[in-house]
Amino acid sequence: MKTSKVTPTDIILPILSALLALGAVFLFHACPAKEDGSFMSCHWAQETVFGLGCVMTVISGLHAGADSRRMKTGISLSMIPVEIYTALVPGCVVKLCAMKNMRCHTAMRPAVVIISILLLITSAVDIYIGSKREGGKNEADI
Amino acid sequence: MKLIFKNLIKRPGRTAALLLLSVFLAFSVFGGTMTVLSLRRGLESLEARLGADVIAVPDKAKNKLEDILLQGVPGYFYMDKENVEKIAQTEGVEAVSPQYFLASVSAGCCSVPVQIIGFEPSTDFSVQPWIKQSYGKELQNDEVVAGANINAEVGEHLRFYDQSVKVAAKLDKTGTELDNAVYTNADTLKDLLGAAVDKGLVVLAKNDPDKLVSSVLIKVKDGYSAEDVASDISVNIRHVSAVNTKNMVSGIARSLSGISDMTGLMIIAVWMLSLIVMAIAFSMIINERKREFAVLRVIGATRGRLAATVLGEAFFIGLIGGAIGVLAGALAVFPFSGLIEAKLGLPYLTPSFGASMGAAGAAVLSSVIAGPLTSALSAVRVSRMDTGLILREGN
Repeated sequence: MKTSKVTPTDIILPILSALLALGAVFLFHACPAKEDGSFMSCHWAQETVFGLGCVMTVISGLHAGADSRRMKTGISLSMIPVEIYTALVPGCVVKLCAMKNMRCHTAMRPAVVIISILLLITSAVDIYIGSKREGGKNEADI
Repeated sequence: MKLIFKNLIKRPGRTAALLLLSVFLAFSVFGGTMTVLSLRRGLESLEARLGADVIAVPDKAKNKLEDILLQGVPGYFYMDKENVEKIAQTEGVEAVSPQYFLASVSAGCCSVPVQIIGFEPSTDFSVQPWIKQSYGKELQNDEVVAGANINAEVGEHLRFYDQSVKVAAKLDKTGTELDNAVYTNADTLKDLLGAAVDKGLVVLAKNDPDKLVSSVLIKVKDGYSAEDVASDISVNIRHVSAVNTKNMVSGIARSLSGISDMTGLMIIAVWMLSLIVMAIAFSMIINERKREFAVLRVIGATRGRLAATVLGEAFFIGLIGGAIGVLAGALAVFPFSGLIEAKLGLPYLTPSFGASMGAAGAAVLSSVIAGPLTSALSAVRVSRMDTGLILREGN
């Protein structure tokens, strides 16, 4: 079996996914716990984003290691719904805090949305690269 | 034109390095300009948002008022309601509107307290002008007007002291700490106070909104000085201190001026540094490409054509790098405006669409100008080089 050529998306996808997972915990985390130790709802948005980021890191790792171009394209296609869902987690899927000047609104939400959109664009580019290469290969086969 | 693009595409490493400089230049010009414009707009908005020329508060509560209005630290203080009438009778006072500050509380889910401000809709001139969508009727009991930073839309409910209140209207964003407050009428305020007392905050029971007020917003008549009216009130009415709002924001204006100067210097420094680095880079690149240009001369390219190729490459690098830099700057400045505001601790309001586009245009232009400017000398060198000598050098 012929191995597929490494493309920039093989590197960008795992980096962005890992940034999403680790960033949600260390860089753009949600609001801290209340004085009584309980968490506000935004904490669960952070946990969800962390989980989704971990899943996407594993999937994009598989994408980087995949041999065939078709498999890479398939993995990128499967990542798109996850990326859209991730962008919707803070604020839409999980409610954030009551004040828009709180950390979950000012840091976590914009960072998660931006990284998700960058992931979405990267996946779309990867699918485009895949379709072009597959197209070229089919023409050659004919 | 085709040759310019082929040159750029065929040497991706070289193009990327020059692009990076242009991106950095445009990013810093756009980011810096937007920050300064946002701070200026925030200050203008604060002056307009306060609405009053003078604010009267109880003696010794001046600092607390500044904490509430400028720092967003929720608090409360009270004085006799009789003072409102005394202030209204002071010479030079055109209109007065009392406000009542309720003790800070944690709103619903969150640990951050919210300032609740009671206002008199009939005399008010500082809250209602900022209502985004008119509610078309009087503020009903158990209804509030929410500041722009309160994460609730019109029709939704908020809970304070386990008492549910409906959001009847939302205020426009002003970029000030007053965006974090909730405004309501006397009846709702009494209900909230009752709910607070029921929850065990008995200390609040004695603060009857029918007998006490926290502050009185004052509009000064034309021809009178706010400074004079403020000092008149402070001297003649016992236990009342009046503050000229212009003086109150002067500290913020000083901080803003310092930040503006620093950002301006930073932009100039980055621009100069980028110009020097780009000039050196272009000079080294042209030196490397001497033989390429000599061959082009041999196959018929004029001296002007060679210079135009060098300038064209620099122009497109500046244009593309500028566009990417502005895009990256927009991604940093717009979505994270709340975070920047919190870190700076100053009123911060994103500029209008027109002003933002102007800043974007200026940033791209600075990058576009930098490209040809730094490559001009190299273009002249290319057009004057001795083709024969260069080709012989290689043999």
